[in-house]
Amino acid sequence: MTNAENTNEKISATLGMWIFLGSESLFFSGLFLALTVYRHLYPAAFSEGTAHLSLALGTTNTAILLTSSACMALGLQQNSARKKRILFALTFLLGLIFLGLKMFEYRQHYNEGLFPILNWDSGKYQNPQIELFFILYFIMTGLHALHMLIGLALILFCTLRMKKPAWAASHEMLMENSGLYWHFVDVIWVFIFPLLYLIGRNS
Amino acid sequence: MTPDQKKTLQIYFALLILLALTVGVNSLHLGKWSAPASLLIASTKAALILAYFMQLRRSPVAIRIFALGALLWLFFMLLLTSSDYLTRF
Repeated sequence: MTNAENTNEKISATLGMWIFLGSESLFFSGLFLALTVYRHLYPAAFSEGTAHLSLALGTTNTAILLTSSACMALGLQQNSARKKRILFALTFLLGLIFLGLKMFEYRQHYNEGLFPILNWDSGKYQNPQIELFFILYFIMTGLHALHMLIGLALILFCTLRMKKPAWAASHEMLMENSGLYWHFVDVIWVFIFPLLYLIGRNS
Repeated sequence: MTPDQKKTLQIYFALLILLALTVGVNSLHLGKWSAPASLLIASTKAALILAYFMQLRRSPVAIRIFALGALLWLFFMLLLTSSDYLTRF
């Protein structure tokens, strides 16, 4: 954040963003709660589901998203317009890599018959409720990916436009709020990762 | 590099260490402690991102109250639902 004064306008723009993020967090938490309740009811099936996910891919993607969030935070701290733009572009690129890896993962699930509705190999599993795990997995990661796409669109827009100093000067709040949104998407993933990839893996 | 940028990098490294920690802890076959341990580490990571990357530690009080307000509703939802499911035998 620059050392600009906290004007009323600026505070209300940030406040509006936080209200929006607060409602978004309730939206995602409903899914987290559903997953936790079903994991509690069907522990064996949900452990089997977790075992089918790649820990290496999940961990790599978490690291990539944390890195992109750090780039965004550093970008907003730059006074030099050029450095800011480079860090925004880097944030965008890392987000794109995250989505690429996620698509690769989805393709693997599809090929292994782990994709409910489209390609589900029901004879393969010990616990029938594993389908519930994968339905929740696709809804949670799919909605997260959708949020990533929105965040990426915002970041790309800012990166392209901030080349003009006049635009950058009058759209500081758009860049700040895009940053808040991007960090929020990161926080959601910070919880999705243990809930889907870690808990129940070695129990 | 300004002190703020240095702080951001420190937080970034702390987040990566916490990521390694949560993966490491889960390879220890913790059984029923896997969930609380993972969620504790995830909450720590989230708190770092909220406070430093999202600047809550420097935000005006009004903004902090709204951020905490979301957490409060979240807490009610989690508490009331789990008090039902976790106490069924």
